[in-house]
Amino acid sequence: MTSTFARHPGRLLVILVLLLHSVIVIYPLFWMITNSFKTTQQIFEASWTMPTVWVVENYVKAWQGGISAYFMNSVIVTGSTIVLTLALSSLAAFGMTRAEAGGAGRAAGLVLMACIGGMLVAPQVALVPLYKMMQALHLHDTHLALILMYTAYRLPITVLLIRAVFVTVPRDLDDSAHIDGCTSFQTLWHVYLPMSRSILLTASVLTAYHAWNEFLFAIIFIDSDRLKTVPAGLMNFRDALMTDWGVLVAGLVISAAPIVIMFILAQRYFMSGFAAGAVKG
Amino acid sequence: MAKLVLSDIRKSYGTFEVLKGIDLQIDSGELVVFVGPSGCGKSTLLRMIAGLEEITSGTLELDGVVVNKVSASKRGIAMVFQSYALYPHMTVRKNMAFGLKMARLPKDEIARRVDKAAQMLQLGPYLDRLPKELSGGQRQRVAIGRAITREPRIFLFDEPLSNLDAALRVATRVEIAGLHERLPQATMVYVTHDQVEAMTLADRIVVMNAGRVEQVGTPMDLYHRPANLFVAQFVGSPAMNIVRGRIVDGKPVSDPDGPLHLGMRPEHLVLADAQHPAVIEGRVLLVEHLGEVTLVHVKTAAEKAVIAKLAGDCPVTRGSDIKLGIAAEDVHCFDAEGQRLG
Repeated sequence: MTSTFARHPGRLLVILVLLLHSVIVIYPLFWMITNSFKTTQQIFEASWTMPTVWVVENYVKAWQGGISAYFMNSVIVTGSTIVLTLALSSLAAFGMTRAEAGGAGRAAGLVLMACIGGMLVAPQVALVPLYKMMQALHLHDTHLALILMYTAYRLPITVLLIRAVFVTVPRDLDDSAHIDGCTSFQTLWHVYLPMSRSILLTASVLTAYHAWNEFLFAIIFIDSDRLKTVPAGLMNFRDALMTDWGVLVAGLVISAAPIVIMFILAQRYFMSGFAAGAVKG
Repeated sequence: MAKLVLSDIRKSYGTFEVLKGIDLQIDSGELVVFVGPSGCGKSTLLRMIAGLEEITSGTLELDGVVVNKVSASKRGIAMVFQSYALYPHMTVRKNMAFGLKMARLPKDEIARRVDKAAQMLQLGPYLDRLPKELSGGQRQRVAIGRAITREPRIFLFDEPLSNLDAALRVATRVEIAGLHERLPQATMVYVTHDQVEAMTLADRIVVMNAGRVEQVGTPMDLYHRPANLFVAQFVGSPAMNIVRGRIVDGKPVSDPDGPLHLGMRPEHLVLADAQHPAVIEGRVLLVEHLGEVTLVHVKTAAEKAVIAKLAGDCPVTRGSDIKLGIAAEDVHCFDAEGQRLG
């Protein structure tokens, strides 16, 4: 190890920077988890220490105090967003990849430009027209409003990621599938999608991360408490005079846990998929 | 199996015509090889037979039925690709069974066909492996096995040996020749730019150039009686020497201003003697000793270098003057337009 650093002194610097970055990312999570087992009084008295008494009841109170409903709403919204985003992105990327020269090729080029353009528009810019649109469609205060908007905002990046992998699939496989009797959709289903598991998992994690944590649309397009997702619902745990910080922090842990667990489970595929999507095509 | 008839087949991309009217009949059980230089349209023609490219005009008949508009999966063909085109996420067994599964064949029938093909190609030990766990030669055998399981009317091979190294190419070529023997009823169409593959495998060879068929014939027909200068120079290695000349008293005479093209295969040229009067005179540019034979490159007065394939122990040295002769019956005569005479 010493000799490696002697030969490549830059590596030591890189490792130190990465270690510092890890501390910056991990410490708030660690703080949140330790304080979620404290009472409000303990948090204010010694927020930087480990709990002297582990208050597991914070989690029970948080779950029973409404987090369970918000959690299920988030699961529905996030799950639906992932399915819809992946389905539409895969179909769009497949069409763009297989578009020949001529009219279809030009149309694919336009969609590609629209995807890139779509990534440049901040959600806040479109807030007012989207609000009017959802009201006109009678979708305001429904989960579908969030699902559609989250999907729309995730489509550009997922289409680009999936397309970057699809363009590397050899055309001979299309021909082979065609001879084997596959329709275009069956070629996508039986050949392209199984070959692109890494990027699909990567796109799922990115979409889940966005949909699960999104706050702005969640508080503007949902009014009913029973329909709120976790980030919006957690607002109810704050009280101007009597906020139970232990319960609130336990709620935050419950809110963050699914995405962290999902990322840890999918990490291997996530890294390779992101590399493929970033480098190829 | 199947008889294939192509009538005035044409293919255009926009205004660019790739195939310019192909007429061809391939009989049941024949192994026909399409051969020609890159860009001559041989792969396009194969893909049109497969149903992977639309036919711009003309008709394609399979057993008397026009199949221009029939989809690839309904033509009863199987294709082996240069790149193998194996599905990388499926095991060998699943690759071989996929087409049958899509055709909704019963599971036991699929298993029977896969096992039969695996046995024929000695693929049994590899059935549960992924393509990435196989060598290039094994992958190509799987691709051939996949074609066999379909029990097609016509096998199509698109340069199947091009991705293999020299040793594997020979082994797989023998494998395909063996396949043709084991399946004598199978009609096979094989595309290659390698004339050795064409000569060794084909019942008949179709020589193509610039979207046209130059000649159709058995390998020996093409070698002994090339229809024109293109075929004469395409078949044989090294290529046939072409010199300008004339026939005087039934004997070929080299003459830069002569009205004919005289074709002489390098292996038919010998050092001039009483029986083989000198036809070509020049200076030795290069001597390549290949052991069994010696290739002698000769610079003549008016023509490009002529190559002679002489005996391995031929005492020719670079820079020396040389006279080459040939038996009159081994000279191929072509008119000014390059068409064969006689």
